Amino acid sequence: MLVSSLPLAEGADLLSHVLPHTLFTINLGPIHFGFTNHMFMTVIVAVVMLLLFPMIAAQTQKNPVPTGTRNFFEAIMSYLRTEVFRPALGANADRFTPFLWTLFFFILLNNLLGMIPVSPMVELALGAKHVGASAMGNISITAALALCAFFMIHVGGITQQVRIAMDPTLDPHHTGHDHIGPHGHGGTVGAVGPEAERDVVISHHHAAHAQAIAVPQGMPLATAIPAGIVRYVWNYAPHPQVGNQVLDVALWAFLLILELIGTVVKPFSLCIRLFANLLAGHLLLAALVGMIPLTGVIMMTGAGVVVVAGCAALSCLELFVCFLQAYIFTFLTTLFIASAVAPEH
Amino acid sequence: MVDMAILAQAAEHASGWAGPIGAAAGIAGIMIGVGVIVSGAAKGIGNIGGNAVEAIARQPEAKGSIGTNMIIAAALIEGFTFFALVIALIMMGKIQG
Repeated sequence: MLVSSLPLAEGADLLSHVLPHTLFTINLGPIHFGFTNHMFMTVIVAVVMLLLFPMIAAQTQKNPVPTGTRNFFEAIMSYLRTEVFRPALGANADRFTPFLWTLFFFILLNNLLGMIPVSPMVELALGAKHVGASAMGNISITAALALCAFFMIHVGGITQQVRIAMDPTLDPHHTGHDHIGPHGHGGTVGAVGPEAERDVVISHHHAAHAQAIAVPQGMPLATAIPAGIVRYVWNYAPHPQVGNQVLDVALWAFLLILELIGTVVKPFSLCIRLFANLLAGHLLLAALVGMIPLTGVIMMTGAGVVVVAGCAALSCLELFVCFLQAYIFTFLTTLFIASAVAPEH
Repeated sequence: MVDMAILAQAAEHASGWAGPIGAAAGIAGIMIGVGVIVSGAAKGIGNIGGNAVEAIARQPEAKGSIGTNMIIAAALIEGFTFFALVIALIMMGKIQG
């Protein structure tokens, strides 16, 4: 058994375990679309998710108390919503929760499917080589996920600004929070003591506030969309203050350039982090197993036992990395969406 | 003479674009780079781990949130560490291919 499986360990070189392999090619005229094993893994995960989660949701209708599998998934989803989505997003959490849950479970199930050795099992049973892989170990797939996160961040932010343009009562600027602005505190009106002075100043401030900012009318949808886009770009960096124009506008331009660089760099780092973590894990396991034939025919069995035990221990670390990287991707996407939709001032 | 010719030809073939010691220097450079990357990451994550354990020792009831934040910070550091390692892998591929 060990000798007959030598070709698996030795014949394939190191990288072929982690690189994508075309399973079949779809030829449509000039387009030759190679369907790789990584894509196959994502299709399997998509089918599993499409079967699993509607079943869980249907059980929610029938029985309010969760049991079994539903309890497992509901515990994870509830933890994510309570500890990650709601503290970051606040009232907007319910709009983004389906996307973020889907993101988390897609990455998690792909990672876990990559830890199951589908490819050697299918190769031993059916002879078809390189059927399975870890789908998130492919930079194109993680780049696609990062692109989804990028669209969600900006579409979410612009949608929020369109909402505010259509219904200005949602704007946090006009809810009476005090902020640094041009409303000077008027001089004291009849000084009669420090407390009264403060009350008078405060009431004066409120009166000025209420007069200066009458709540504007909401716009219809057609004009709200460009207005929303303009407001979103305007809100991207901290506004320049009214006094000291030149320095503040220069500072605002500089901060805007930094924020624009951040727009590209943050999803890129999401992509690279997930890709490199998953790739490095599988590459390490492939490298260790690939070293067994190098020890020579006599030592191979003993070396094989030790190396496989070490790889089992590393695989436990890899399982932890699967969960952790899915959580980190989702958590950081939540933070980026929160900073676009409801930026703190 | 024939040996020298074969050696020279092998060195030329192995290095390709950068002269006879090009490949060896490239590999040496990459290995030094990988060592620096790993030592930087280990120092950073060790720092976080040490401070987190100290914070738990000061206030044991906060260990849940301290642990979570420690893991998040470690994963962020590992993010750009792996980015640098991926670049090293690409360069290794360029040298050998």
